[in-house]
Amino acid sequence: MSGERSFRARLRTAYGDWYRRNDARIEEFRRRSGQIRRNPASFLGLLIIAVFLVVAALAPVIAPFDPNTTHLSATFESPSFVHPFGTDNLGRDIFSRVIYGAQTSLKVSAIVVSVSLALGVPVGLFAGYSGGWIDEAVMRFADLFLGFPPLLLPLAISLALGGGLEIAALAIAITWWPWYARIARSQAVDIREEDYVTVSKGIGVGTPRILRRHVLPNGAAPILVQASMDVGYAILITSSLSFIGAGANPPTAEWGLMIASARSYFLAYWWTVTFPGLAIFTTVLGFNLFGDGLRDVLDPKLSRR
Amino acid sequence: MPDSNPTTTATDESADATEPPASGTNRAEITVETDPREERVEEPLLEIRNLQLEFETHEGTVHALNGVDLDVYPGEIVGLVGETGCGKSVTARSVLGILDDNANILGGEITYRGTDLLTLSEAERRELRGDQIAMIFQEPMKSLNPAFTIEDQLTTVIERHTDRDSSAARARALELLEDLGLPDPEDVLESYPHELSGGMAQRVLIALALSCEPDLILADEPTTALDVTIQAQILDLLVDLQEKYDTSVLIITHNLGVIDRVTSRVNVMYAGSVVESGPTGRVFETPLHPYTQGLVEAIPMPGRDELSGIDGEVPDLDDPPAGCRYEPRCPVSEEHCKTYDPPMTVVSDPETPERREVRCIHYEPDQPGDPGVVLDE
Amino acid sequence: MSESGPLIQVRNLKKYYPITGGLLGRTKDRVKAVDDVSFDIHRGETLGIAGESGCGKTTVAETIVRLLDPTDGTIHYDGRDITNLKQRELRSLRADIGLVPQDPFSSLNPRMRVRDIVSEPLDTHRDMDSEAVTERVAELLDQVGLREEYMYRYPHEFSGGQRQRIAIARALALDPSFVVLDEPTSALDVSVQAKVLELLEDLQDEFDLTYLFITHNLSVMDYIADRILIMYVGNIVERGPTDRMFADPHHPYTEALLSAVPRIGEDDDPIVLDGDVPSPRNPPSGCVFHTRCPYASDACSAEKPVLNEIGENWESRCLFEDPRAAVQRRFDDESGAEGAAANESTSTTDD
Repeated sequence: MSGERSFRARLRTAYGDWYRRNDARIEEFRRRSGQIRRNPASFLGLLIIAVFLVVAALAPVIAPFDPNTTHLSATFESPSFVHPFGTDNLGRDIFSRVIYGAQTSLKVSAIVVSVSLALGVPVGLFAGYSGGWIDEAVMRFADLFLGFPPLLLPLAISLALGGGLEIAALAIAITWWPWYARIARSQAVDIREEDYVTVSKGIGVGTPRILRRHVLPNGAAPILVQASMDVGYAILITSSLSFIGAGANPPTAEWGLMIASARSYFLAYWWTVTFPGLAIFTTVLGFNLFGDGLRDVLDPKLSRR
Repeated sequence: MPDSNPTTTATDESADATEPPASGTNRAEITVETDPREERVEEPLLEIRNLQLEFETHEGTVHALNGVDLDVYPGEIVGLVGETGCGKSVTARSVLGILDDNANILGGEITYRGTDLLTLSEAERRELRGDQIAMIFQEPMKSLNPAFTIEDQLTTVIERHTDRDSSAARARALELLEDLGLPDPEDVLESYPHELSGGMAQRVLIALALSCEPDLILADEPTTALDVTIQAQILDLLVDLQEKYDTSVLIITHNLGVIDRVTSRVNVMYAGSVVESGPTGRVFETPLHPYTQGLVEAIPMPGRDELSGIDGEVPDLDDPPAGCRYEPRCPVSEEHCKTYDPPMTVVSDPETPERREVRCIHYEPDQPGDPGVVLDE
Repeated sequence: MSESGPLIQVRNLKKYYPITGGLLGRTKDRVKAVDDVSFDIHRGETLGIAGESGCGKTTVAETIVRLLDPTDGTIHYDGRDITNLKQRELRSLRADIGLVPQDPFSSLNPRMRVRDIVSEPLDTHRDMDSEAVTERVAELLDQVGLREEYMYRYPHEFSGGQRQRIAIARALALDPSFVVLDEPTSALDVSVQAKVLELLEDLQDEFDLTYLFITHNLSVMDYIADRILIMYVGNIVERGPTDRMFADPHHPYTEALLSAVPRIGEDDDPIVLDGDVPSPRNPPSGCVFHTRCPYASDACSAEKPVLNEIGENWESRCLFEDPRAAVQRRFDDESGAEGAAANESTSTTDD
């Protein structure tokens, strides 16, 4: 390539090269996303998630009011043009609080799911791939956590450590990682028998690389599906914890906390509970629908052989 | 390498099977019939004519069958041979009516005992299934329900299609298993599928197929999943049973050796249609269609020092060639072949009174092309 | 690499799998997948191992490249005893061995592009920059008859024959001396198989490769193998040069196996054996083949024969020098005069 060639031409060539090299990957992605688009339920889920993410990201921009500013003269106002979701017992705009609640929920569920994955997946993959006593030992350890009712242990940990949203999130992650470990382990057990793994061993590839390049990519599908649904559940559980007082502390705008605070008067002022509740419902539903669709997309049997 | 190297001469209808070979050579003469096909004396049991079928998939339409012609006469074992993707299994499933939902039959007839099966309702076809036409599949372990004993599975079918009650059905099941050479039929009845070996399971499947004494059995790769010595047993058995029960068998496989061993006639399939048919020995000795030639030459055989495969790949049936589907790989193709899809032509072979047919321009009297080009290859 | 002895020497190789049971997981029994097998593989040759399910051919292959640990016996590679080396110490050995497994649809990681699949040996054993790797991959693909741009595609876009070529390219990445091929063409159509076999032969000539070729397809074996081991329930029952062995098989199992193979243009009257192939979990006593052998005598169930030499570099594991004649003799004996005093000895073994 001579230096005389224009910058634009070089850029074009570079892009052309890149495209040629990655053409297959792009094709894969297009095909799979096409499948999501075609399925109405999962497409709806995708839309909901998109809305949720946008709202969470742009909360300060979208929200008309500050979520924490109280207006004691404007308490319990029913939904109106100014306050689409009405105001609560302290005169705060519920619409803005729901929007900021999305931000909170996103933060929390991100912590929960990413910590659980980070703990559970490597452990599970390693246990499943190794087999033998390592597998046994690790899985029995994981089983300990699976014995607890889903809310109880996080509740205990959270209360012991003083509550607060981040603590609650971590507490949930500590109880959740075994689920991912289990899925990862089961995938590893299947994949380690595959011919391409045997060949890699024959080539002399070390275990970490085999896990990273062979086991994980091929085993990721059910993990991803579970994780995408779990984002919704994480929100639900965090809200539940907040509801019983072990999660978010006032005055945080968090959906579960909002419902808890409105417990005593929602019969008179329905909007204080309904909108946060709907927010939880819709978001969890969205992640569920998307996760289901994702399962179909990632199912290797459904991709062209 | 095929035995005799025939030449062809286009003659008129008076060419008959006893014409002496051309002087000075040992080559037989294959002559092209200009007559429309003459019927064999008996009626065929199954007659497939011009069957066309496509599959609707996300990626487009797969034109799987492109005019399949096939006959099965009473009391014979016929082969349907072809490589992966040629449509042989699809053809068998069309006969039984057990195709996937996304399959569309575009045209053609499947005539069984005078009735076009494609015009029947689902209920009517279900009546035929198992009772008059039965099918054996490739993997015996996958075809048996792992949750039920052999007795359950056999007697259910027997009771359903015949008038026997449960104890008579059980007796019949035992009888069948004995016929199939299973050493401990009582034990086998009480077993679950996973407790049986591959060979035993395949025998059970054959028993299932025979249980209602069908007139026609479609066997889809019946021995491919079995060990060689077990395969020999099963093939031997099939020949015996065919005689004893006087059924017809259509064996579908990619293994030409199997075809040669048990069938009297063979149909060679490529990319959605039958390209050659005739008596098995002759077809393999002196293949007429370039594809059949390619296949026969690709098989490792004792004394064969070189193998030649067939260049190119099987066509993508999303977008098949417009004319002859073999043209892109054919060593003797003509320009015309790219747009012309030949019909089956009847060819007479002095080495046999039976009919031979081939779908190739070189054997058609009114088309450009010369059989000598193919046969001297 | 300097010795001119055999590349691989296997002596008394055994691979047993324990069967555990009961509360304490005690070893109840053993599956004798490979039961005392010895052979050499010479440089530049193609040694074939043939047999039906459960005969142990794949286990032998996996054990001699140390993907499995042998229960007993020794394995020498290029003069070096590799029987008990740890996996770490075997690394350099792995660079000299290529593997081509059976199923082209599962031997390639479906989530990796061809370039990364073929380059994996390079990434593991050599320190090469990305451009050098790409060049090498292009070279390998060219050698197996595939276009360079295929390296950016995923396995599922290719046919069985093409995938098998990719697997071969991967096996050759590090310029190995020894390639193990486990049923490399069994999943392929006949016409494709012919091309792949042709390719394998060309590559062997060009790169001076030694092949261990495993298949149950005796026609393919006849075509490609110089010498062959016939295995049955974990034992070698006959061993020798392919052409002579197939022209005039000695061991009754070899004979039956050969005649069972359906071939075009033969006037078949195949020997049909009775019964199923025994499982290595419960091998027959004495000679492992006696339960199905058409020529078996009483002695065969009691005494396990050793491999007897029947020709140059040709051995067979049978009590009889000529099993068919022995049967005839027995028949004559039994239907002969009453009061049979002169019972011939029923075992003749060569040394």
